[in-house]
Amino acid sequence: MTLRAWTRLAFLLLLLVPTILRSQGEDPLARALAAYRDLDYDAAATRFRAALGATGSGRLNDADRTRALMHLGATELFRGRRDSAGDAFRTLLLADPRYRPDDLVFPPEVSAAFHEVRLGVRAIAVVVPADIELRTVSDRVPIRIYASALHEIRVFVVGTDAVRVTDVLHDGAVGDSLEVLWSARDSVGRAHPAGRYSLRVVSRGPNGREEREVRIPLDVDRFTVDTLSAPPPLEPSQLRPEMTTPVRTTRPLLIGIVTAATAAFLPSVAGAESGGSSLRFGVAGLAGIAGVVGTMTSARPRAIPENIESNRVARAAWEQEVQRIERENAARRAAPRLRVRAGRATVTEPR
Amino acid sequence: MMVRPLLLAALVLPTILAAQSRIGLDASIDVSTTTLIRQVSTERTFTGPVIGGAALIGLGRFELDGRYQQGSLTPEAGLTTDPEDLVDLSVHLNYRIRPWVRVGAGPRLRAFIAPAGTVRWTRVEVRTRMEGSVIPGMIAAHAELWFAPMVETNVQGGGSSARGGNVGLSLRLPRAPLDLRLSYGADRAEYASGGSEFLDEISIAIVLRRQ
Repeated sequence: MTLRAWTRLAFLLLLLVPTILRSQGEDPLARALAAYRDLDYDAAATRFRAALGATGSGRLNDADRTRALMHLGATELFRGRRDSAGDAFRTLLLADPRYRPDDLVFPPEVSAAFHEVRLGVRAIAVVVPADIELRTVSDRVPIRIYASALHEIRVFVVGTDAVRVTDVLHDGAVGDSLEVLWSARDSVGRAHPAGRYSLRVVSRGPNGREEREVRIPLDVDRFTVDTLSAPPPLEPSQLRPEMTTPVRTTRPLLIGIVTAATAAFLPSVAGAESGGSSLRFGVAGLAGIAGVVGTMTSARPRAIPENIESNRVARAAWEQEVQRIERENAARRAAPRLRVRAGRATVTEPR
Repeated sequence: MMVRPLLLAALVLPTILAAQSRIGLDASIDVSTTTLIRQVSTERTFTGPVIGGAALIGLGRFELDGRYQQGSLTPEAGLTTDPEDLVDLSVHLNYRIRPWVRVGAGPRLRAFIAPAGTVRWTRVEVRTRMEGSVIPGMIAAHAELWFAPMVETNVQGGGSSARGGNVGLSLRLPRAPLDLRLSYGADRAEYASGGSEFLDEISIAIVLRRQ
């Protein structure tokens, strides 16, 4: 590429960049708002309607659409067309029941007209977490409902067959907002089967007639949680020996003989020339017999009560832990975790 | 009269002290048949039951034990002398050299109370005690010997010497921290004037172990 070609390309870019940047930051309602600010309400109404009617790439996003409808309503009001203004406000409230005009932007007569229309519109917006996990039986899906005005609603979930009502969450009035909770479980805590459910919020008129319904698909997935592994069985090294190791020894006999001899000769050891209770020979005899018996039984394994009791406590603790884990696992299997994913809301108006 | 407080103390003291951690404790009550042979110009023999109690507190290798006995000794038939009451109190501080042997020392006060007067003995004893298992887990034996390097009495020109011992068997009762102990004890003290008093006893004791 020659130097001349590079120069042409740079010049072209210099011309195009401001145009690109201007088109990206341009307000699609700029011309309509300019006419609105210049009090040219006829032109403003035409331009707002044109913007709202745009399709394809020129279609307004939700925020701009809300702004356009509110300004269109105000414009029509200033043009003396209250019906057209009411239509614009009504359309706005059906799209966004939570919308309220900014009193710093719109004069009081516009806000008053808006609220007058709002009180007659029965619309609701429903906000559900897009993806939520219910880990325990006490976990719930929070469903927040915003109303345009006080009216009666019925909130319920329809089962996977799309017919049977699984849970009725609310049936009564809603003022500004309301939060209801869905457990995705039946009345005894059993999880609903996996599948597609439908959350439905029906707005009713004063005569009880269903006027509007918002539906949100709820996809419920069940997945089992990991269970705890059982504790390893007690190793022999963890237990104390319950019996003595049989070792033949003459030590008991020696102790018995020394004890017997001491008992027999104790008066002499004490220095008495005579006397001493003859019952001491009974003590001496018993000591001797005990020594013989001790020597004979020393070759037999003997139970060690302290160790037996210690092992009993250890085994009981192990069994208690096993039972605790079994109960915990049973509870986990009985209450599987649920994952609830909410889809896009759709609005229908029964005829 | 003195027996009830003694029994009460023997039962309550172990419970109180066992609450202290790392403190070993034994307590016992005993009843014995005691014979006293007093040789002062003539030989006179007295016999009778004696009731006593003992407690031992151990901390590490050291132990402090105390014993009290009281009873009434009546003269053998044919003697015209009066009965005498025996009161004996001793306190010893011991050191356990091995698990089966210990040495100790301490004072002993003994009195023979008669209408004609009271014979009082005061002495300091040095003793050694050995213990061993005869039938492991069931029966243990003990043998104890002592002598008194210092002996004093208020009669017969004072005391000269004293020595004695105690030997016995303890049966460990199953499923209870109790031992049943049968023992024989002998003790001889000499007067400076040449006479002597020889006291021996066969006793049965119930020992509460809280170690």
